Amino acid sequence: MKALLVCEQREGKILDTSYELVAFADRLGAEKVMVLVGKEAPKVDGKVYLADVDKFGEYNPDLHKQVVLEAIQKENPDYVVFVHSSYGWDLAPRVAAALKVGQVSEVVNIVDGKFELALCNAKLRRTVSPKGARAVLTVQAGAFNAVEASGSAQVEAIEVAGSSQLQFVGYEPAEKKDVDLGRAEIIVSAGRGVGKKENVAIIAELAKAFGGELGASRPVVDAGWVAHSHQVGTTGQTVSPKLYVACGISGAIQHLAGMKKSDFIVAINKDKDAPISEAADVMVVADVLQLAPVLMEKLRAA
Amino acid sequence: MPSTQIYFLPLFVIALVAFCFSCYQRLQLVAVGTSEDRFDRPGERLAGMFRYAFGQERVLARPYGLNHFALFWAFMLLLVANVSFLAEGLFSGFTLSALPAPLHHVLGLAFDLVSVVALVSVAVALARRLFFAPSYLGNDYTKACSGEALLILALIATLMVAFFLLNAAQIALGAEQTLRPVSGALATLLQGMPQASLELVASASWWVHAVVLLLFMNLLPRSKHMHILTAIPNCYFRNLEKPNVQPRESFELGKRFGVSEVAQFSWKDLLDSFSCTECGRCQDLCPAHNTGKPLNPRRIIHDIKVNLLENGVANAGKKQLPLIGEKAEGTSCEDALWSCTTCGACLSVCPVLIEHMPKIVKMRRHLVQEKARFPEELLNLFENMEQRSNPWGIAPSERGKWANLLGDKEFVAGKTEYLFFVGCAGSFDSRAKQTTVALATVLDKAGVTWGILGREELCCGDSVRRLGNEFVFDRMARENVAKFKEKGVTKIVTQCPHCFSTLKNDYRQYGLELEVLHHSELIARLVQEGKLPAAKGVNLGKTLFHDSCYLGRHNDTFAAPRQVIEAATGAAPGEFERQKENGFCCGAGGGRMWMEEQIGTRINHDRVNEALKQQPDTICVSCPYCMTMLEDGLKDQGAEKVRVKDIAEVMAEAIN
Amino acid sequence: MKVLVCIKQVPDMESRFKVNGSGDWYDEADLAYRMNEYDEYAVEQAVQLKEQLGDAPDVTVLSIGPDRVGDALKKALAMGCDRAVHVQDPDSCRKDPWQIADIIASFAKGKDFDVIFTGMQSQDRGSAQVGVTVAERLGHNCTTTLVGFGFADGVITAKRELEGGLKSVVKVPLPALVTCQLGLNVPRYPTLPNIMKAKKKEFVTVPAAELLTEQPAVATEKLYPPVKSGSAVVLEGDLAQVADRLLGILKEKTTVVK
Repeated sequence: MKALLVCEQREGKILDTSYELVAFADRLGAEKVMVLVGKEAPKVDGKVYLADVDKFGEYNPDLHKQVVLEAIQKENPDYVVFVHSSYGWDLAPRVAAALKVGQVSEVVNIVDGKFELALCNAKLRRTVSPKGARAVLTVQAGAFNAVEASGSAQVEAIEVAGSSQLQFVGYEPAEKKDVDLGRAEIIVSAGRGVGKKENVAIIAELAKAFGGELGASRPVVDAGWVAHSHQVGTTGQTVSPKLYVACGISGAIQHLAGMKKSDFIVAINKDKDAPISEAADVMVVADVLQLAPVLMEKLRAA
Repeated sequence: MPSTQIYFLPLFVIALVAFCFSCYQRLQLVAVGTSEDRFDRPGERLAGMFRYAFGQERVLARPYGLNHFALFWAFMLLLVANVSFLAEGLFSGFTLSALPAPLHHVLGLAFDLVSVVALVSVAVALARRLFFAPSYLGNDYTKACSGEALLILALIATLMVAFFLLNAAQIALGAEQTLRPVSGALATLLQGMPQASLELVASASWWVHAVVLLLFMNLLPRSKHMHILTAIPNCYFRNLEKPNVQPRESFELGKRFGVSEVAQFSWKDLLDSFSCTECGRCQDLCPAHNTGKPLNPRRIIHDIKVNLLENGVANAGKKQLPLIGEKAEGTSCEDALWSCTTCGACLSVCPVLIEHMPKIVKMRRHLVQEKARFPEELLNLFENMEQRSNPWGIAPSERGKWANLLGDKEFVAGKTEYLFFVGCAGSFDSRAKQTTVALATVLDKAGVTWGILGREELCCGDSVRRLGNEFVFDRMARENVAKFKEKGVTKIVTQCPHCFSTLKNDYRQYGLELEVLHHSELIARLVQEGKLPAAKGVNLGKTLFHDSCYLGRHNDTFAAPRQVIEAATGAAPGEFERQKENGFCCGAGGGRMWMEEQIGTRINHDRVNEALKQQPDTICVSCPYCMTMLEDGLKDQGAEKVRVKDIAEVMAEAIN
Repeated sequence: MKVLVCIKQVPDMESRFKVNGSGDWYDEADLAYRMNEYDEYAVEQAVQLKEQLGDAPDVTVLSIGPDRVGDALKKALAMGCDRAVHVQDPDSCRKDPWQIADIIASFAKGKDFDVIFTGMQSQDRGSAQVGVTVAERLGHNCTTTLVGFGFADGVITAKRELEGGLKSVVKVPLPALVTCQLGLNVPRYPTLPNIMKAKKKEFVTVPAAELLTEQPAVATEKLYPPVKSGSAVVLEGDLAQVADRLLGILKEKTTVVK
């Protein structure tokens, strides 16, 4: 079994998710070959087809498709594997369509040789298997722990001809000035339980340590402790981050309605029976003001 | 006085024609409105007219109303005096003296006395406006001491003074002596004057009186004193239904929805606008106005009038003054319309039964249904209501979850007497769920059988209706009514006054005529029937009862919740300064629960601060919205130690 | 200009899902359906483009599925699409993305749609394939995950959302297909007059069998609920231990804490 791993880079730098593809191929027990439109090959043992990004463009799916097809032509792999990312979900169906093969999107696990996928907000799971001899896969980011970037690739340059009408104009960095809770992957929210305005800064620091954004419940916003753009709930933002940490939030329904779709919810509250416990995956019974410094220290150490 | 007639007749005719023309113009403007049946049940209408217009019931609800009452009845009597005055001026030989002497004498005495009353009333009114004007008399577009008000008062005073001088001069000239103490006293002062001077005084007074009278008459239809003409019919044509029940709409292609132009109001809405005399009582009670919002119910009515005067008459091609838009005289701003909590204080206080709030809802209907323009928070609400039939968008399957521990609680016709319509808050909100469970406990204890619809229960639609989303409400109402019929429901108990009022009043428009009870009514009844213990003496410390607008003002249920508290604690609850009909909203009605309150101060803070003045231990409520708003308000004010309890919880504590 | 919007009707994600009798899909009974959220952005963008171009573009909205998808199509019409095409398929849930894309491509072929809008993915399957596959089949230019859309002189300027808040800008000449991400615009709340008008708009139904040419490429083996995590794990006691256990759980259960 052979897997062609389509690695990903941004502005010359290999993305870490590429190493997750390697982990996936290892789980699959497949021989791996890599292909990348970039500047330098990933640090892995094995063959890497490298197409020069200066020539094929930072984002040019029509040309990148040709590059991947060329590598497939050379390697004849059983699986062509992408990360389920803005790069992967954009490119994979193009490759699948060109090959006229099936695509399996966002694999989270391999169960009995079948690919496991989540559906309906992860309320259900299913296993699928592609019908043909070859298949295109995309793998959920984070689902397979990345292998260490150590090794030396055997690089082979790849050249293809092709043209595209798409014109990549450039990147636009994330807007810094305003929080966009709707897009945040991690939200750490402060509730009235933090006590006073000054303490919100501690929660903001905790949010930063998690690499997330600061959210807040309505009373905290109403009290003027933080700006309205941070408000989570019925009259604020409805959010669904991958991780939601509710600090000192009792869980009024207006707040619950705004955050219950989060993938994973941690509540830190002195009251074990606060309504937030109904929604939480983990209920930490503690004073968040005491726990936060300990957590931050461990997060920074990690 | 034949020469008088020569000059007066044409003057009178001109004045009368001008007056009739003005009235006709105003009537024509009222007729611009859409049709609405306000002609049914004439007996009931007449009775109400006597009560509110002639009896001045609501005017008298405030102490100063006595002054208006006096002036009103003085005017009613003087109407006879003035008709006879005009007739004397027009037809030589016409005189009240022709009446049988006793009647003539009584009339003379009455006119003399009520004129004094009128003069005193005018003086009091003037003094009030000048020296002790209440804050609600003026506002941003008119002063308590407006030129118009002063002019009218001056004209009335002039009429009275001229009337006395005329009578006095005539008495001094040797006219027939009747019992007219004031005129008589004035006559003795004039006694020494030469006859010619007396005749001049009489003639001048007559002319002053005549001219001022005609002027006054012509001022009426062109000023806020139009209410002198329209208030009485306005009381006759009042809404005999609950005015917070908005009319249904039909949903057809090509129809307009709601009101965006003044001509889309009903003729009664427009009559309302001419009946307002700017007394400011609605403004005084309005929770939005009191907390710095741009809404002033009186201003809404005023703007409708100004807009009607500007746009109403046929003026094709002329630029229309917008009814809704940038705040201006004649234009209501959207923020004002969205500030209304539909608490109904304006409706219940208006002396001439103007219906302010329904007009606001009509304009909201336009904004929501034709323009899809509303505060952004409402988008989520509307979608949640449409898709999951609850304001938070929680899965409908969660609705009956609270009852899981109680066993099978499904409503089955014949087996369960009451359908317990739990409502969205009672089903989903963790705090309100405690009330739900408490009520269930109380009903079980009293031996009342009840059942729920569980996941089949839908939202009653109160919020969407008050927010103007009639299309969505219509569907919810039809589905609910069909469900009640399908399930064979005959009696319903609710724990939320909004469900209660909607099921009881609004759903009648959909043919639902069931016994709908708010839990306060049912519990009070069970106490009366001896099925629940009275006076158990639960100690809640100092209590205060906060009236829910939809239970109290909108459904006149003031006693039941108080009785429940008294039964449970052994003592009547303490009262807010503003209570019952004058109660102050918690801030959540009319869909405000789902909106941010960014303008002015918070309504719930205002209410909580009012409570805290009395240092209560427990504030009792009968509504889940009030519960949320007051609890939040108390926390914001750092007064968490004051508990908020629903009356069902209070009773549940008593029977435990 | 001719515009096509492809929408899907999906169950309300708030629902409780049960596996159906044959174990290959979820039980559709008791589920409430709505328009796929991503597709609402697609419809809105199509209608905005129509408005920008002075009402000139003719906007067709298409959906595949059983009779109930008519509701989603009517909403799209009420939002401002001109005509609806209902590809009738009572068994659409058993079609894989490859076949769904095939049906759409067969429909669109030869109809010269200048711009095609689709959602970036569906809320139930989330495969994020159909749009791109349709573009490949039709030979349209394509870009995905739009959070910004501009159109001038026959060229779409698309703002794509990448990871971590980063965005990129791409210019795409027509004919083009774009897939829409949440937040691209603010989907309008249909006004009542437009809901009424929608009832009179052209509504065509086509049996899926007339358009389908491909066999499924991926087979669903089994559908099942995820292993229950149970109710909340309660952590209390020594703060350092609590913090360690919490971070341990987060590393295991989430993909964002490393």
